[in-house]
Amino acid sequence: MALEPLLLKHRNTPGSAALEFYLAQGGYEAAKKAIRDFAPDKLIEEVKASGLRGRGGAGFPCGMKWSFVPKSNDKPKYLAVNADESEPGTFKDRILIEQLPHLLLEGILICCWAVQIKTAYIYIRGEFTEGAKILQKAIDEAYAKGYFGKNALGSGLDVDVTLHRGAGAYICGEETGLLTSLEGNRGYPKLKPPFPATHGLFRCPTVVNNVETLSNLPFIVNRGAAWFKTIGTEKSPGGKLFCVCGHVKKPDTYEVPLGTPFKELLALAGGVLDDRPLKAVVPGGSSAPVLTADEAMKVNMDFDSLAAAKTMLGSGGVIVMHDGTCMVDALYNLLRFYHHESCGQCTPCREGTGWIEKILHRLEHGQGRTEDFSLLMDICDNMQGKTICVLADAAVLPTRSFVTKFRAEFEYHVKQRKCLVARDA
Amino acid sequence: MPTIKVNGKEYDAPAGKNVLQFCLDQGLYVPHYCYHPALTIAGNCRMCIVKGSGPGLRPGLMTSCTLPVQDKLEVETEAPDVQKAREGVLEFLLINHPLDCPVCDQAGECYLQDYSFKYGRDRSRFVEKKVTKHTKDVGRNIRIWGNRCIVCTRCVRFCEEVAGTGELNVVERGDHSIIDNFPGLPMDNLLSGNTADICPVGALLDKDFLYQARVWYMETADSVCPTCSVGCNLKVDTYQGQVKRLRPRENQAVNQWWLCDIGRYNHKFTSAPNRLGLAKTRGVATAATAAIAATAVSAPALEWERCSLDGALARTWETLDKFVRAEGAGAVAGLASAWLSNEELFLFRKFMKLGIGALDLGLVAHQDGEAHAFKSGFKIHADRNPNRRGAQELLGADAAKDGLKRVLDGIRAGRIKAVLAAGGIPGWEPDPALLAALRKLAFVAVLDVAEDAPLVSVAHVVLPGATWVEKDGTFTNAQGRVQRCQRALPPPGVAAPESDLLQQLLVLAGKREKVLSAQGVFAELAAEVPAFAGLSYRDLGGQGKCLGAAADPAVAAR
Amino acid sequence: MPVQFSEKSRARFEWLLTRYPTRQAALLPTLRLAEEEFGSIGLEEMKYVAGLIGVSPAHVLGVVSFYTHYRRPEHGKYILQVCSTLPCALRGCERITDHLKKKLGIKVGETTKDKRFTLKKVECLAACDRAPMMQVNDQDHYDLTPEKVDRILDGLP
Ligand SMILES: Cc1cc2nc3c(=O)[nH]c(=O)nc-3n(C[C@H](O)[C@H](O)[C@H](O)COP(=O)(O)O)c2cc1C
Ligand code: SF4
Ligand code: SF4
Ligand code: SF4
Ligand code: FES
Ligand code: FES
Repeated sequence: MALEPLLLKHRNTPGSAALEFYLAQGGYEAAKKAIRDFAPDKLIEEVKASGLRGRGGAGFPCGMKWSFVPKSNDKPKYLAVNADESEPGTFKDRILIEQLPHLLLEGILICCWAVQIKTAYIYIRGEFTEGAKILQKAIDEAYAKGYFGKNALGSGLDVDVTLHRGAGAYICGEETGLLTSLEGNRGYPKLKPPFPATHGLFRCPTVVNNVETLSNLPFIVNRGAAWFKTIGTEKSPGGKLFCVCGHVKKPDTYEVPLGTPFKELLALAGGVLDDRPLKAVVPGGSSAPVLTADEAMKVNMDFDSLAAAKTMLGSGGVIVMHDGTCMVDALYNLLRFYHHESCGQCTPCREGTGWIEKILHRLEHGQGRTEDFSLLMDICDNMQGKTICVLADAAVLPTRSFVTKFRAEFEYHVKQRKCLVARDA
Repeated sequence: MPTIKVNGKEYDAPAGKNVLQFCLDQGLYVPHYCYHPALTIAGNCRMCIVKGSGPGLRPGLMTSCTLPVQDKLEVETEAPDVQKAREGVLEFLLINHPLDCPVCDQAGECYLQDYSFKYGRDRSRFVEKKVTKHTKDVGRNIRIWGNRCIVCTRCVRFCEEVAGTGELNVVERGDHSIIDNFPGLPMDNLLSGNTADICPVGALLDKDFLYQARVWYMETADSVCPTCSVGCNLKVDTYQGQVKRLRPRENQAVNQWWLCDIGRYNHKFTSAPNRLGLAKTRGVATAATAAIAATAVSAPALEWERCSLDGALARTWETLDKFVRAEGAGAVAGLASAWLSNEELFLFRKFMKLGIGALDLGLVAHQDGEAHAFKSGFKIHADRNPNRRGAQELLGADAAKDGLKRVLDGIRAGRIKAVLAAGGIPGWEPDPALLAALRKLAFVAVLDVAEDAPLVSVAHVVLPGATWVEKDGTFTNAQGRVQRCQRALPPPGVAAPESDLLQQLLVLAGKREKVLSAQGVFAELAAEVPAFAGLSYRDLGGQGKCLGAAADPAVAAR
Repeated sequence: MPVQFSEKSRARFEWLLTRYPTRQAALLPTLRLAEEEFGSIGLEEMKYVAGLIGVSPAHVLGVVSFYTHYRRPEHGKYILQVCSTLPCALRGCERITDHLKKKLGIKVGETTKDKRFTLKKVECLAACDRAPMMQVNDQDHYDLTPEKVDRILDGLP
């Protein structure tokens, strides 16, 4: 790839999590530069100009999101860092946290300076015990150096950062579920509008950003928005971490420019496991509609190309499936996930995810009926766009795309009451 | 004021009000489960979906309870895609819902049943196994049928926001979500009964009412709670001559939407076996002569004799009259209770003043209870009487305050020889000194509702009266609001509303020609008692009016 | 004996309170603290934490039961959390679960009689590149095979 690795540069360097290591690489210079050279408004403009889009799932332009936070407001402002990484097939934030926690902390400082935020929380998923330890150590180091706390980094702004551990719930990755959870509740997503930018954490203006999004900021500040735009595509600038998993020879996180053809990404990951034919790809975490092999081999990995292919870049989790995969079973597995993770707050999702799972379970076990297909589609219609958050849609999108694109395989299950594919033992 | 369009029609609507409430206010029905005007908006049931468009709004389906009124908003409540979405939500709610209606106490007043009828499919497309959840007591009075719960969280928000006690919560997650209390800490707040009222389905049920009656067989009357001086508005539901339950009736100036548990369950006395259905007397003839001979025989030593109501009324009047003639009007005193209606207190005083010419009137009242206040501002008063305020106006402030003491002193001093007492206070534990004094008297006539009422134990004549559900009348609550109670049941046996009994005594005394209805008495009262001037049953309406309202616009605004 | 924080945990709790504008926001971290101090979160612990934070015990019960990662009293000494979401499933996590079921003689969700192991199927733990994987208490184990699982279990104290 043409891209020099940035986020993953020190992936295999022992001790890369330590502050001395980071400082030796010129760490925290970007934050200092931001404070020295950019008035907050100018910094927001710079990030806007870079075209950086959110890496957590929705791909929302980062600078624009910041600009929605009211400037003059008596209320405190908050940054909530989304380190809940729970989208199936996604494992990039974990690497960033464990290998280079200070990069994230520096990104946090830059965001706080731009939006003039004094309090940041890092919401890390409960299962990341190791990551939490590493991150806490990094925070302590940074505090000891005066990078956080009163007059952080000599900026005149007091910036506090607190690591907040979740406790096992996918829905706390949804930004408002995260906020509700942080407030000490069941992680129910909030009603929107109002949006977090004005009524977020503790009903105060709040920025929610993903770990990878924030980790890009030091580079943008150091090298400039113009440099960032030279990587990737016009509408999807920058590099991106893709988590390639499933049936590939070298499942791993790969850092490539946005817009890289899937084909190249697959080649980076060593190609399909056992050199079997490719069957399907979920390109952006389990919530993204599935692509057939043909579709996948033609698509580029950026926000717009994937949207044009009627799927999405999402979190960058790329789940590769070879011809030995039963699509009924695969979808059943995903719906079990969404059923298990639905917070249960609103009716269509609470009831619909379980219903779909049960139908798929029947299909998978040879109890399917022809009318189940139209029923599934109708249930999807009744769920999508009718709920508090988009977890319902996240369950609907795979359901619709799997059933539509692999219809023959589903029908085989109904008629023959067994799998079309001979599965591995 | 913003202008909005609902189903093509234009309305002026208050900015910021949620569209669901606005539609409901206009009489446009939008189905909903989780929204309740008293509670924070949860937006979780998704039933109130409408189609909306307007400035800054992405057009499409949206929940109306979460949609604030803004200028140029357009809303459709019956578009085909709205109906489809509703049908979808309803189907989702029903897939894990048992087909329980035939055995469910909510049947007949269930939002799920109602909407299924309107939007539901005739055949279920759900052939899978239903999720099952617990059935258990979650409170002193409340049991949950978890399978019927639609997780609207009304009950949870109620305990949190109104009662301020937070005993209930959703536990588990997804479609295993279920309402529960913390083990060992059941819902025991004094507003708990309301959770069963606001549960839109038959998940939370009041154990007190369980399997008592199918709701469509019941009859209902609007009334007011007598248990404390707040005067919460309520509905009395009766079946086969018995009160089956009391339910709150909304009155924003008094009780909002609620009833407390103390008042809610305080109706058993109306159908208790100890109810007085017959008149009775003991030793009245002797008493009358004895009085004059000044050798009284105290009532408890005598045997009861049954007597017709007319006979008992006649003996009451004649005996009191004899005392007046023999000893002077000052020998007869009256005690009236703060459980009597305004009409009855008015008549009581009229009889004592015009019929007897008595000097001393006193007020008897239920002993104070504990006062309670809740997070929402709802209060339960320590004054456990419905009409102390009315008594102050109608017996006179002085009589209400010191009258009882003067009567007691008069009895002790031997000046007072006979007493007419109107009680009817359930659960009353009077000062033993009062009973001891009355027990010494030559003649005590009592209007009361229970065989074992304290006053009955010292009476020579007992006139069976009516409980508040058995008569029309008004109470004046602590804030001075005059509110109507409507008769829901006939009194037992020959018992009659005290207002009838007192009017018959007035007729016997030659001070009245005929017995008027409560409404007629109220008109008379309003004409004679300045505080009530200008009030009538008509303008009391369902929500009552404050004393002085007709005269004072500031009061009327309350 | 009613549960109570040690001096050290108490100090840590007081520090937590300084990190948030509301007491309630300290609930999840305080539950973690309780988990560390008392070994698991049972009813007594929930009540204790509710008292510290100033919310109702029912609120804490609702919160604890919402999340899957708190250690509960019914759990064994080691919680074996085998990831079973699609990426791991594609790499044969079912074999790992089956192996554990057979080896321990329990079903998923159960605990061995000696209370040593609890077997759980969990959702994606963000290590799909090293699937199949499981978390044993706080420790992740990757690229599992039945043999490797045996070694891991045998090596546990
Ligand atoms: C069901 C659901 C789960 C999500 N999980 C995550 C997650 O684990 N991590 C994350 O960063 N964003 C997640 N998101 C996206 C967030 O809601 C939000 O868009 C993101 O954190 C914003 O940050 P960004 O703009 O920097 O991407 C999730 C969204 C949904 C609907
Ligand atoms: S859509 Fe699902 S996850 Fe989102 S709020 Fe509703 S029930 Fe919860
Ligand atoms: S018990 Fe009733 S009020 Fe409570 S959540 Fe369930 S349906 Fe709603
Ligand atoms: S507060 Fe008073 S009036 Fe209201 S229900 Fe309770 S006892 Fe009756
Ligand atoms: S009433 Fe609006 S979502 Fe329930
Ligand atoms: S699916 Fe197992 S770690 Fe992601």
